[in-house]
Amino acid sequence: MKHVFVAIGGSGTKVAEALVRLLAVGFPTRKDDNGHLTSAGDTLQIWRVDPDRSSGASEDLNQALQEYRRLQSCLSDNDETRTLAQSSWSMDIETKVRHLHPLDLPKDGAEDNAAKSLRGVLDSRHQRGGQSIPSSNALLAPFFETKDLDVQIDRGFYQKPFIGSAIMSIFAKSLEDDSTPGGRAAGLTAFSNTPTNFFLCGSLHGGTGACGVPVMGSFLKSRKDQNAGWGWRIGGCLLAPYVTPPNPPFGALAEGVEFNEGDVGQYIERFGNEPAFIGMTHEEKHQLVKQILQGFYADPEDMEARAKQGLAFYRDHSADYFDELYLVGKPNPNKLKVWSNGGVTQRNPLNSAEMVSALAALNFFARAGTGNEKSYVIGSSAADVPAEDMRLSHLPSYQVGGTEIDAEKVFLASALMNHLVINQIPWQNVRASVKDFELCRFYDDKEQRVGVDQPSFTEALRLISNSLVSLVRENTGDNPTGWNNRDAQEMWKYLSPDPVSVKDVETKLGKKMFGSEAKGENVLGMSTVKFTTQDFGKWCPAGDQFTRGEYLRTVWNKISDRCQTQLGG
Amino acid sequence: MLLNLLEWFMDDSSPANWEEVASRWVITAIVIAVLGAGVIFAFKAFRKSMAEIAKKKIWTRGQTWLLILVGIFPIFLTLLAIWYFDDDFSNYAKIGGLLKGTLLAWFLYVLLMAVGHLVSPWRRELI
Repeated sequence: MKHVFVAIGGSGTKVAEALVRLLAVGFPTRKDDNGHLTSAGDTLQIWRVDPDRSSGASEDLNQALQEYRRLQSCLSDNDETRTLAQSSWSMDIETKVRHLHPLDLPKDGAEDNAAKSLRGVLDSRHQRGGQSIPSSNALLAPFFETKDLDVQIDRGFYQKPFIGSAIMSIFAKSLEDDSTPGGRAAGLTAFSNTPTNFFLCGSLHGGTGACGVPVMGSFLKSRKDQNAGWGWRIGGCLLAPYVTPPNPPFGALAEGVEFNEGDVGQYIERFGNEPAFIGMTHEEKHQLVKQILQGFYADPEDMEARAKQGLAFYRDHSADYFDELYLVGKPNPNKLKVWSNGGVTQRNPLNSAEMVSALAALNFFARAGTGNEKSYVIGSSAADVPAEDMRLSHLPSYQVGGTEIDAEKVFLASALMNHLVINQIPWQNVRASVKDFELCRFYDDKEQRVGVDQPSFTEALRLISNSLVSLVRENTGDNPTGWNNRDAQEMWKYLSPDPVSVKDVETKLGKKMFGSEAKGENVLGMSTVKFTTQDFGKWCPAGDQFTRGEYLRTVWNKISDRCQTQLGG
Repeated sequence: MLLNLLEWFMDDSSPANWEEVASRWVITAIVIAVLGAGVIFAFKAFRKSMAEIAKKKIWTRGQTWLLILVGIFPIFLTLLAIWYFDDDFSNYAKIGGLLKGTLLAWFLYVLLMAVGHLVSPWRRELI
């Protein structure tokens, strides 16, 4: 099955990063012919719709994709040159993000739509052609203030969806034509007659997400309705406030108060060395000061009200675009420490809400459903989920082919798989181990492969560990991730090369002196798993031609099958 | 020929029953070698079955040869004890007979251990 994740704005991009990392960790979307849970066999493209070309979130996503490409190459043929990262471990992902820049609009000449402001686009021809072409100012004036028309929008729409929606609409229309910049990037023609799951994700209260999700949803829905036989599905996830930024270094001026270049210079002199301005040129600082003074920034005071307005808009106009629509947020959002107005300085660690949204995408891709066509579901987490202290057990589960996928168990299975493959396979003595390890039997007549496979497994598992750690990075004052520290600490025991940790896990995997039962249970949160290394030795795909990815997936399934929830959990 | 071979194990072949003493000494060496190999095999099987972790069931070539090497000491000590407490052996076979009997037992023991490994699933732990 083909999936397209449309990340709209910074929040959507962070969710895309979380999705890539969840897939790297092993979260499944389907069952293969043997009934094994997997995501391999599906393909994913990531579209990123954001005027902020160089955002920190985009860099984080690219980093996750590069790691994913390396992971997949380690688990297949070690070819890292391919754009499509593929292996039998997990989903094929196009590692080159398709950047759909809303400001890359069709041009009627080199200067057309060149200025990155609302006026620059909506009044482009007049500005370019002079008085011979009537200005659209008169039409724009009732809808926009002068400052709205002139603000630079190449870093986002600053919580002003009414600015972005005009741009987004023009951009979405341009996607129909493969010769436009947006149309070329999206390449929608390739999706003709191809069943595809489109999943759109963006914030409900921001600028880019709030205007981009409904506009892109409307565009895809109309294309879907025109081609009912193509088998397209459209899902969406709206992120209500889950983090709040601090206030900017200084506040906006009151409505109607004017300022001049000298004032801007004074602000730069006074605040130019604040963290929000670090790494900026003088011109960029100048722009940022103007944006703050005019109120073009994410105001934490307004977020909830904007989210409410956004929800009302979906209720009245946009909900029907989607086959399934998810809403994720936190009643008490986590508080960011560093203020940023977009750009590369806006680097935030993955938040638990972003992981929940990525799980919503997996739920949609897995066709788990949230109800039926004639009904809708109002799902809600238990009231006692602490927004700053979440555990993996608080995460929503989803179903794949009738099997419940519990995130905590997936984490436990992947972390324990890491321990087993690195520490429990007698890599140095494969020849003597054929009786006790099926994998070693596989190497019996191809011993030279051990020299390639062992480092490849080690590197792949290092990358999986990276993703595991990134997804539940512990909550600190500077990096509010929303996670309780205990899951990260418990999981580290399975990932750590520290001999004490290895011994601790190994002891529980040991068999009792009499009988074949394991000595103890390995635990992560409320999930437990009990088996011996003797059991592990028997786990191997059938046949003698399997790949490293197939081996890991087999081991992962065996562990996952044995994971249970502790009584009382 | 056989008598010559038996005589090789005796330092003093003057007594009338030297053939019987020599035969008993050789048979003792053979039995100790076979028993020694059996005990060492059983020890290895026990250690393997008691291993809590599958990886620890696997013996390296070095470990296997070390175990075989270790096995020669109890064989020597057992033969020494028997030789010491049996007057016929200590009086007629003497030191030379003890050493030759021990060499025979060691040779047999190592041969049995090697063949035993080669015909069992443990052969990759030896070669």
